[in-house]
Amino acid sequence: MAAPAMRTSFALRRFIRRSHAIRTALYCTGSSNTPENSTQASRDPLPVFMKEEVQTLLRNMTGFDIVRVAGPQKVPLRKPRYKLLTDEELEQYQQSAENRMKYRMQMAPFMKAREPIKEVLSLDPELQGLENNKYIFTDITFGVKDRQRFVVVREPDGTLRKASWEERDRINQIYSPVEGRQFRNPPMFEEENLEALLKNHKYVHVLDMACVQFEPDNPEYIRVTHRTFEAIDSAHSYEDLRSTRHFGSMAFYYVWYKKIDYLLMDMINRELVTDAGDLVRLYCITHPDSAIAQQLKTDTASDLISVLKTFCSVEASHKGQLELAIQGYEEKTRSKATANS
Amino acid sequence: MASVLHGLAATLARTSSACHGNIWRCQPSSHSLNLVVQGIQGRQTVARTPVQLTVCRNVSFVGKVTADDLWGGVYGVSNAGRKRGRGKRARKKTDLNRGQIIGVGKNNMVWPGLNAPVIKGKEVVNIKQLPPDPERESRMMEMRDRGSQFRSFKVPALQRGWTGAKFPGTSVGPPDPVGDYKFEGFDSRVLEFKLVTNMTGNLGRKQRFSSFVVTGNKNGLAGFALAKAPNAKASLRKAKNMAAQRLRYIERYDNHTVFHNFYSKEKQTAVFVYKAAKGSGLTCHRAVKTICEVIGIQDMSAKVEGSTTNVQNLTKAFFAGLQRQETHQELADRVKLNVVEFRPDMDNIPLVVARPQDGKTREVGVKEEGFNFEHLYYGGKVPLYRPKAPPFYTKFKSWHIKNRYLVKMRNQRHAQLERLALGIEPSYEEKKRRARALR
Repeated sequence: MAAPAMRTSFALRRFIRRSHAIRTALYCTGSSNTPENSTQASRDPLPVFMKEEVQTLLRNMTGFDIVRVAGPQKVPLRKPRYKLLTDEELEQYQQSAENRMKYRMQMAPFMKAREPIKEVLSLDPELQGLENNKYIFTDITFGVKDRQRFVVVREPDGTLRKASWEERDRINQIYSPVEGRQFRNPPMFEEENLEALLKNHKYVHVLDMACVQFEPDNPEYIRVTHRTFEAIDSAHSYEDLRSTRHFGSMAFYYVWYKKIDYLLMDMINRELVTDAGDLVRLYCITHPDSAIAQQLKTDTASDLISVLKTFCSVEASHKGQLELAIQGYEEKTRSKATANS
Repeated sequence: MASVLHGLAATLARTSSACHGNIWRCQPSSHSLNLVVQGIQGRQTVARTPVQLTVCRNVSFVGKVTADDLWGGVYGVSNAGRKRGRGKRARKKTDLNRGQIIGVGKNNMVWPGLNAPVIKGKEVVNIKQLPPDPERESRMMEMRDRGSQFRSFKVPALQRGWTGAKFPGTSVGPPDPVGDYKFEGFDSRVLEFKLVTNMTGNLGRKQRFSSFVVTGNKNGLAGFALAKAPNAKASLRKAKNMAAQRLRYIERYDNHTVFHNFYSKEKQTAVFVYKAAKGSGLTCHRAVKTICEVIGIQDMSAKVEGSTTNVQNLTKAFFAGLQRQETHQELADRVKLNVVEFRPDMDNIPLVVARPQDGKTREVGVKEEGFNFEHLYYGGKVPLYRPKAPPFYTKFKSWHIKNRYLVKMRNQRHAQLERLALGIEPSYEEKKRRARALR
């Protein structure tokens, strides 16, 4: 992974994009070890998502506007503090603030729904009728991870089985509570309430709350986040998620389900062509057997615009609109060039 | 009369209830009318219990006292008082019948034959209520006022000034235009209004009105002036127009507050001004608050010490302090350092508000022990922040007992709201419904 260099000046608070040469060279790589015939639903997205280069691409697309990350927050009114700093001291403060804010940008892993646990440890019919309730046994040793915690249930009929995911969630929240997570799911995730929130463009709020409330492989989390991404796609409000931890997951969702057209158009319209290139590159990595991946493998010396044009002709499902966006961008750059000369 | 009482006795016997106290009061009196009431309570017949009824009427004073008596009770002055000069400017009685029409009232009823025709076309008009007429009250007020000199009108609460009874704090409108220039967006507020006198050889005690007015456009431009004139209106007009000639521009941080805390003093009136966060509002002396509103400062707090009632000196001190402020840019250029803001709502990330204009800061930063930006403009002095003494009752044993009890309750309200949101606990309406009796 080519670690992105950080610009020291805060005037331009974004990652420097990697140089053009590296970018075009990267298009011709891409492993093709995934069977094409398997459907997207059954394929596990996590290994692809966790790839170092995928993570870098997603991080680059997200952007890092530190003011937006720190964002105005709801806190009690307190007056600002002022300090008189030399350039050197200021840089130290900025560096520490940047580290603090970058910690917030960690993306939630993109996973498929967890399999239900149905393992029975032993059947003891002699214990049948001894108790009327279930007994749950768990290990509350300090430092045991929630996903590895040992939780078993003794049923009234004498069956000893491993606890289901829902039971595990409850026990974990009781014995090692996660801050901000509620014991019962908040009603905001119910179908109608969620729709009302999405209608009011509260995407970031919904995603933030889902991140706190659910584990990333919880079917509820997947339902809520995917519905939110769909709502964002239909409203074209991608800008709401820039400089948040959710942009990467959103972009990956569109790539995974092959519906990046509108996001690509949005990027081109905002003149974020490098981001658009990253998105196509991500598409090639995720779907190595797709037409665009094959095409780019053969033609190596292509610049960003031609890569986008290739995508438009080979892979896009909304060809006309995408072509118009690319043409608009080309015209804009041309008029800028003439104005400068 | 006797037949009425017989009828009543019959009703009492039927219902077996006690006498209704309002009109008829039971009184065991020997020389009143003797009646026999038969109770049916619990099927037991109370045989021939004598009950004495006395007639008494609690009558309202309305019919007994004349209107003159009532008015005299409210606004009247005794003879002795009148000799001492009391009640010279007391309100005169109002004719409440003026503007009233028989049959027309608050409820806006249609009474056929009284205030409406009995037959309209071919249909008989019924008694009915029309929607309320909102203008009726004001129309009646207007009718009442027509005869007298005094006009009764209601000023909105926010325009009544500081006390509601006097001029200070009220608005006297924008200054008069000078040539082509109209003072658009300006507003003037009275800060002080009083009667002043001096003795002259010719006229003796000569009285004039003195007005102290501040004017401003709520966007940094403001001025103040003191003017005197023989009549009140003229003095206010003169003062606001003079204030408009003495405008000055006051720099504000982010158009909402001052740049820094400062201290300013004029004679014996000292004012401490504290910068505040956006949304805090104005927490100041009423005169300072009025001045801030006129200038366009939205968030600030101030403490006035010394003579707090001398509004003229207070205004001078406050304006002088505002004018002496150093902007962040000026500070950065002076000390050759970056001025950096740390705001809690922005998670305390460093936000540079000013850099030295020559592009470079000095090598060594601020190394002074105990350097505090808050105290930078106090001229080396540090204000005494006296911690608030705990209230006396915290020493009582009962206070601790109460706290011990309250500790159990501390999160109950929040927990209940959470339960309500999740639908685990029935809603207030549902609880009320369940509490009702079955029948």
